[in-house]
Amino acid sequence: MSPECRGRPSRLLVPIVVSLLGLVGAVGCGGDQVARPLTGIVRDDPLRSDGIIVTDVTDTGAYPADDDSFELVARPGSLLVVYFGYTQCPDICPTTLTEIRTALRRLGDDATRVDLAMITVDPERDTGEILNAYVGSFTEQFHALRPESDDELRTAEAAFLASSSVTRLPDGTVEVGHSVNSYVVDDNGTVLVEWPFQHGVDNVTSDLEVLLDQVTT
Amino acid sequence: MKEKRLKKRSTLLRTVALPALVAVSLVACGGDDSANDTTTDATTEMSAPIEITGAWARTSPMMATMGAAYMMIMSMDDDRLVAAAVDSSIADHAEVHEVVMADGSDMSMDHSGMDMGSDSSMDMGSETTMAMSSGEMVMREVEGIDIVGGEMLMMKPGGYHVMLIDLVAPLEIGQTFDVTLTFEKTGDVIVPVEVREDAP
Repeated sequence: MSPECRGRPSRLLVPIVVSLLGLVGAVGCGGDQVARPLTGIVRDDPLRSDGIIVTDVTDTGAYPADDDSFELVARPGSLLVVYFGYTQCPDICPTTLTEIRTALRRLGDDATRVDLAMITVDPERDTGEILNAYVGSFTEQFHALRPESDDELRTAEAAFLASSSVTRLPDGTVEVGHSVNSYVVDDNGTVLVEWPFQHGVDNVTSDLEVLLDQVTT
Repeated sequence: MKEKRLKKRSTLLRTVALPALVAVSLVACGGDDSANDTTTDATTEMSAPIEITGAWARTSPMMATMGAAYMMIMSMDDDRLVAAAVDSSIADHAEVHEVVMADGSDMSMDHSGMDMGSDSSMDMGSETTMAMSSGEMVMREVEGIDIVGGEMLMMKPGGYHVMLIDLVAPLEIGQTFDVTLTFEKTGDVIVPVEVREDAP
């Protein structure tokens, strides 16, 4: 997204703040009046992922992990970014996850309140070891999720209206198709915003900033 | 000069490079009608020069076995990219791939639709955005890519890329390696590829 997008609210904010200088305290969060809108997909009837549980193979140093299942909700006061992908994906997945990593770096200390959960759509080839190393390349705060059954994967996908397919071709190659959006979930399991492929680092960062403000208030 | 980034294996290099330099200088200077007459003829008679710029590959995550290289290809004449190769010290082999919608439609169409360029939230009420969000993308090897003379072919995330299969080691920032592209008319062109975290 263009810098103009992010700059506009600031410019709007200045005259408002100046004119209301004496009233801000009484109004409360006067700045909220001109809060940046979200840039991604916002549904009138939000998707929900509370109650959706996926096998968690995150290696916390004592593999297998102590807690081997994970409900797709954020920690209290935090956000959870959910992505469906696979590690042998050279284009779409690293492009998306790099965008998220760059946004997290821009957030600075606030990034400690954002976790990344990657659910592999290719659990047969993505072992726990591979998935841990892969997702851990993008952030230290991650969940490596490896569904143990097709039902488990399909249930998780259905919650996000996501989908995937793994096809073994006659020549031995494996063709993986998958929906490419990423999702931001709050601590109630509400999907607050969805980002399409290549949504842009500026947009992703902006949405995370806006949503982090929301989940703390 | 960008031409220096291209190393061509065949001895055609000189015959290709000379008219290419002339042609590029003409383009850069906006052209001169009186000079164009002869130079254009000369260019037409020679092999089509190919200019490849902005070649890069993304750093590969740990344990990733696949990588991708992207670049922009500009040919003065029609040609066809038919193969890609990489040194075995980088990856087992390379292929030309394309990301498409799983239903076979051209992803670039949907991609442009996704590029909202707006600071307002997307409304999920429309059919367009519903279809967009539920589409699956799949990556497939392509037999070749037609290069249209005078038109830039963009190899970029979400579209065409040179897939690096079975990486020997993770691709790291600052690293540079060569990818050899084979064109039907021009032959082999060696392209230095810079490893970066994101597009240049």
